[in-house]
Amino acid sequence: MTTAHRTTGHPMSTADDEAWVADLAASGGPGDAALRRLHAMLLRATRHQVWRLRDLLPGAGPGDLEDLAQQAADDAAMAVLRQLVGWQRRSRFSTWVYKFGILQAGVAVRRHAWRQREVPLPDTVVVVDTAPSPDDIAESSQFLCAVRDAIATELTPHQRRVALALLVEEVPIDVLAERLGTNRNALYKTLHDARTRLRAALVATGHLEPRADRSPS
Amino acid sequence: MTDRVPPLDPSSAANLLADTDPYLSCDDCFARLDEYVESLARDPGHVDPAMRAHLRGCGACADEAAALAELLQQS
Repeated sequence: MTTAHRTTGHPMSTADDEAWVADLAASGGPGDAALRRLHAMLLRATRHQVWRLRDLLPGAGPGDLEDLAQQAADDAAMAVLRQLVGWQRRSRFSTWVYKFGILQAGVAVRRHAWRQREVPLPDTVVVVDTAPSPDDIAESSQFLCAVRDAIATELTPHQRRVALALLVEEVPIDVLAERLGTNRNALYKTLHDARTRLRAALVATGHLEPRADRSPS
Repeated sequence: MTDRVPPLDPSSAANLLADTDPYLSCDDCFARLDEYVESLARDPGHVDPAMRAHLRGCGACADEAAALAELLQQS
């Protein structure tokens, strides 16, 4: 990681960061140059993420991937400019910028990969044994049946569909959010609550050890 | 939508039972991601229990953290 002298009074920002941010808010030549620099940096991040995830898009050629990266960089630039005042100088400005590019590119690739696919919303599961020995199979089956039963009895219908879609069917969270008309935050909260209920049920039936740092209520 | 009943195997069961306390939202994870990844790059022993729990439980955020860390390593 690059280190630069700190002259700004903020522990993680540099004088160059501060000048760049000031220029982004300016009009005319300095503003245009700062925007071009921002877009170039975002394109670096979006290309990186699109190429990391290219196996999700088996039919896509280099031109398709570049189009996705360019579009994601454009979208990320808008997001950065909207949230510029939110940069709290707890990291380098470049790191803060990169994360917007990576987010936009990841969402774009996952949605593109699923655009023609049906999103399953299962309400139940069937137990599958993959244990290596008969004894292990019996133990594993008993545990998996307990998990299946807890899914059926402890979760609300919404929690059940969200948890099974995300974790059993492996639907990407952004894709599921788009199809259900909600957002990543709401789905993750639903998943967190479902996991809490499932863990409590498995602890109550003796299939799971309680966490050592929690006393029973 | 489909009527197919999906399989529950040990891996997906473990994921369903992942302990994701202390709770952190995806938005809060994103807000802290740059600082967290830089901190880990400087000190691999850096600990943030809420970020660690969130990244254990959210595949999309975990992938973004990994991508950002790789990008910083290349910088």
